[in-house]
Amino acid sequence: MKRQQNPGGAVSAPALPRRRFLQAAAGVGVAAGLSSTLAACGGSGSSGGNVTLHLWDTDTRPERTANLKKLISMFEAKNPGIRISYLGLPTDQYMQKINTAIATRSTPDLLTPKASDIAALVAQKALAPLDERLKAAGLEPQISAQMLKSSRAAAPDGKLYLTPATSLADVIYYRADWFKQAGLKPPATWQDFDAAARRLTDASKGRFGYTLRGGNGFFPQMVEMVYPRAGVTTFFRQDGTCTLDDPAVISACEAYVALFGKQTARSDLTADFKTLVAQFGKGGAAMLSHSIGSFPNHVTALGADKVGVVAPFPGPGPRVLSGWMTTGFAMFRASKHQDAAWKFLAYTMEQEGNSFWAQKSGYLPGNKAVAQEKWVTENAALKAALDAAATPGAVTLEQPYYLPEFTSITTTDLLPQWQKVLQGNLSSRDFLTAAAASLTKVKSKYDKEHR
Amino acid sequence: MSLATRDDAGRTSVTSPPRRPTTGASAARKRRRSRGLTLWLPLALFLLFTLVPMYWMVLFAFRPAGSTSLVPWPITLEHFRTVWEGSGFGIYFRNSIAVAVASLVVSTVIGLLGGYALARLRFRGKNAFMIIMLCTQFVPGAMMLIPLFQVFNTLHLTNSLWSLVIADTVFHLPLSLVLMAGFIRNVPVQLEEAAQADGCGRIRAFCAVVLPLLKPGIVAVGSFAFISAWNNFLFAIMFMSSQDKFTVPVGLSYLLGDFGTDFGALAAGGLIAVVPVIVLFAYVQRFLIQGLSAGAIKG
Amino acid sequence: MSATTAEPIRRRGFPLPRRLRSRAAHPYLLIAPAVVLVVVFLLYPVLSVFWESLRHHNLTRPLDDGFAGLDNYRKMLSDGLFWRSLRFTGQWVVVEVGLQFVLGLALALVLNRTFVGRGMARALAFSPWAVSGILTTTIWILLYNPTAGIGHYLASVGVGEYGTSLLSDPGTTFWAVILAELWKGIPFFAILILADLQSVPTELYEAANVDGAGALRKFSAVTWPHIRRAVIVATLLRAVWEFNNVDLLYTMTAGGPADSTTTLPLYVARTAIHDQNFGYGSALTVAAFVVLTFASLVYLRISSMSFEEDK
Repeated sequence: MKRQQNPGGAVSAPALPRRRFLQAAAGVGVAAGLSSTLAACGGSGSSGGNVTLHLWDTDTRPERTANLKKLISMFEAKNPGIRISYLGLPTDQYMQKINTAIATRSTPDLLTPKASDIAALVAQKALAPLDERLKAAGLEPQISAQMLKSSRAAAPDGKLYLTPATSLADVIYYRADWFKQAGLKPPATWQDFDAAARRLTDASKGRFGYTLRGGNGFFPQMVEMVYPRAGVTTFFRQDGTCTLDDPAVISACEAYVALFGKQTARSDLTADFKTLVAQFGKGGAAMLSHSIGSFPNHVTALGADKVGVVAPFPGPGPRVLSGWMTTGFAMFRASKHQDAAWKFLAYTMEQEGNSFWAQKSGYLPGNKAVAQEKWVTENAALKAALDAAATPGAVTLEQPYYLPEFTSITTTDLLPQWQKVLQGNLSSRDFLTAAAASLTKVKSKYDKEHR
Repeated sequence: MSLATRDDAGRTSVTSPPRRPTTGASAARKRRRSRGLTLWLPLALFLLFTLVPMYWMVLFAFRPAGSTSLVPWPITLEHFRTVWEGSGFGIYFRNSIAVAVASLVVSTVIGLLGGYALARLRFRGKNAFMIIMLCTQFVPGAMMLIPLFQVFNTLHLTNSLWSLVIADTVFHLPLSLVLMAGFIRNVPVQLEEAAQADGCGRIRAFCAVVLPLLKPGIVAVGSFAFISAWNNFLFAIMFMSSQDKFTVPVGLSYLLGDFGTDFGALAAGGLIAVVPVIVLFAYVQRFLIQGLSAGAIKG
Repeated sequence: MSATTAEPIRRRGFPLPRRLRSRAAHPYLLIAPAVVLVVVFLLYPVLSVFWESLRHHNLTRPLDDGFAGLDNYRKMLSDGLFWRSLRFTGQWVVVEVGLQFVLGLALALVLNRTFVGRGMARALAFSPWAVSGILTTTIWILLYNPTAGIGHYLASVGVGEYGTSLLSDPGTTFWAVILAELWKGIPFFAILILADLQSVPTELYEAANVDGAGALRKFSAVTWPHIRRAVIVATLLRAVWEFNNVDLLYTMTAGGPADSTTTLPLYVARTAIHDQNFGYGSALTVAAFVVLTFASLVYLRISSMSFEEDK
């Protein structure tokens, strides 16, 4: 209270008329109501002996917030004495907020990062490693080995910082009703995909076969449409060079780029995710590539019977699973309540918490027992992703999130070049060769530092 | 519109004789046509430009998800329910009002003081002062978040709505000062001198004579301050660290989560955020026409 | 509010402390609150940006951090995107603020006339100013969306083509974002100028009418001299804001297609905030600071505006 009056005091100190003015304002009744609201800030301290953990969520939207709060209250019911206070951060600003908090030593206890956030956070030594706690809790055997590996692979030092609670996976959404009307079967091969994209394009009616991400965040979609088609299973070769310049990748990319402007709207040149979703949801496009996470949105926009889901199709060689990125929970190194925080992290991996959280989020569960639960196969998007993973010899394509520069290269650096490719001012080959070269360079720098 | 034209035409034919020597009837027609060209046509164009995007927001807010109709019919309130129940808009709303009103008051007061000095008093370093005020605008707030956070931390103001009031006011200060100085300068200094000659002190003369004439200026400066605080997003998200301190723009940003592109809810939230401000505008805009022209100078 | 302030003061009188009467201290006391706020809250942050620009500071590569001397600036001089973005920023600011001012002035003049429904018209015409930034961009993105936007409905009646958008055609992107920003910017100038127009004594217009002055003459002889000062400063401030306007461009085009709409501050945001390279981002910010200072001084000089000038 005392402190909060400080600025007001500083402001009204030097001269009289302002105080008069403020008095008058108070007389009108404005300032009175106001200062009580502004000052009503104190309050939320910890209650006697109990631990209050602060959790920051990095992907805030109403449904998810409700689910996360439910998960928290389930946890609190099982762990009396621990309270978790939730703070939702907007998806575009959370990194900025976290960086500010790290720089000013005001980090919370818990966070919900994605694999792609880990490198930057670990570089700043912000997160606490979890390997030993995981082992001590005997949780390791209960967790999907693949997801555990992915989680560890996201950190530059190979340690576990992110609980493998859930994972995303890439799928292709299609308009089941349009396919039926046109007498097409659900697509099962890349040839089917190309044919359907051509068949369902009717530019004169404003309908396009596909909607392609040309704007912000283009890279994951490109990988999803290119690597499985090329049948290339790794991002780097044995010798540490990047596979983006692999001939199969180049020709798959050419096929992907060829869709632009013919089977897609020309406006896709700058389309970001929101634009794509609006287009798919409003009947402007027959197919859309994205992760399983957006499935509920498409169902809400179009109705369950109109949304079909398939995994990216097999190409030559082993089936490539793209977009398998772990999303989970982490705790900050500076947390003063690490034991309590770990209890929550463990809860999100144990069957009860994991089952609830994965099901409500529509993500792949990390807990093996949960993966066997019935609801998993009832979610069409999860089923498509899991069926693909069950293909004999299927390989998960790991993206090098551990490279500190990976995010900046694939988002900001490559975007303008990518738009040149779509506009026909740069060939796919030149684009991919240059991209491969810059990723190879940062990879070799990384290898030198870590070996 | 038709009503207005009638009023216009009626007034033209009854009152004010045409200044230039033309026959009454054709002059009236000419003036009506010129009024159409210089008043109604540009006004209609402006309103069209303003209202089409507004209509789009209303359209998305009221029509069911998935609809592509150009009319929000059948009307649905589901989006408003999502926003109000799911996103805690009530609290954000209260916080936004508190911050915006406090910024309005603080900005106006500081603007009046500094503006008076700039407009009426001679002092060394006036230009330097203004250039420095101007320079504060040159560095984007986003680049100063960490040091700014440290300053607020030192003053124990983080996670207090006062930090938003201060940050919004500081970044808005140059505009408040300069505008207010301009408005004060436009009040004839003779009025003040006359009051002082009557034995009033400078402050009393200011309050009694100048202040009432400054209404349009105060309304303009105040509404600018109010709205910029009302809409500030970055400071709210960066300096607040508990859910019950967030403001309306933060609530709006929640509706654009990673996979969340619920445009209906966003539009509904936007309407909730904008309607009170428009209502406020509709009320205060009347003060924009009071002042000198209201006859104060003659009386 | 001002009326209620004036009332009690006139009634109760207002004893003035002796020290306030001293002429010399007076102006400094009046500007003190502004100075204190700026010094306390902005001096250190601004200086720290200057300091950061002399360091290597990349959050993702803490091992490489350290004093950089002028490295960041050297890198900047040979950075093609820096120069291109600077040029585009100039174009963006001049076109945007120029149009905002001209149209805002026109709107203010229209709304200053007497007509039925004026209050309503004003409230509606000003309303975009009240719409929060995050929402403005979303509205315009939806308007430009090829399936959910106006283009789709126009195409369905035969105007234009399906699947196109002003926002993503390299030839029209610039104007598409200009239009979106005008929506918010015109009301700003209109409110400001309208408020200022109230200070023009009606007698002056009457005198001009007696002289038989035309509308243009009345504007240049009576209206303009009264609003000139406010307009000069407002255009300058607005220009600085538009210079630093990142959110709209970032959300609507992300600087594309192919960097064609990347302003310098957008480049800063990308470098410092998204790529987390604070050192270089700060150097770019300092460059923007220098450019803005220089441009502002030149602008004030050629508009022969001085804050010291007395009437």
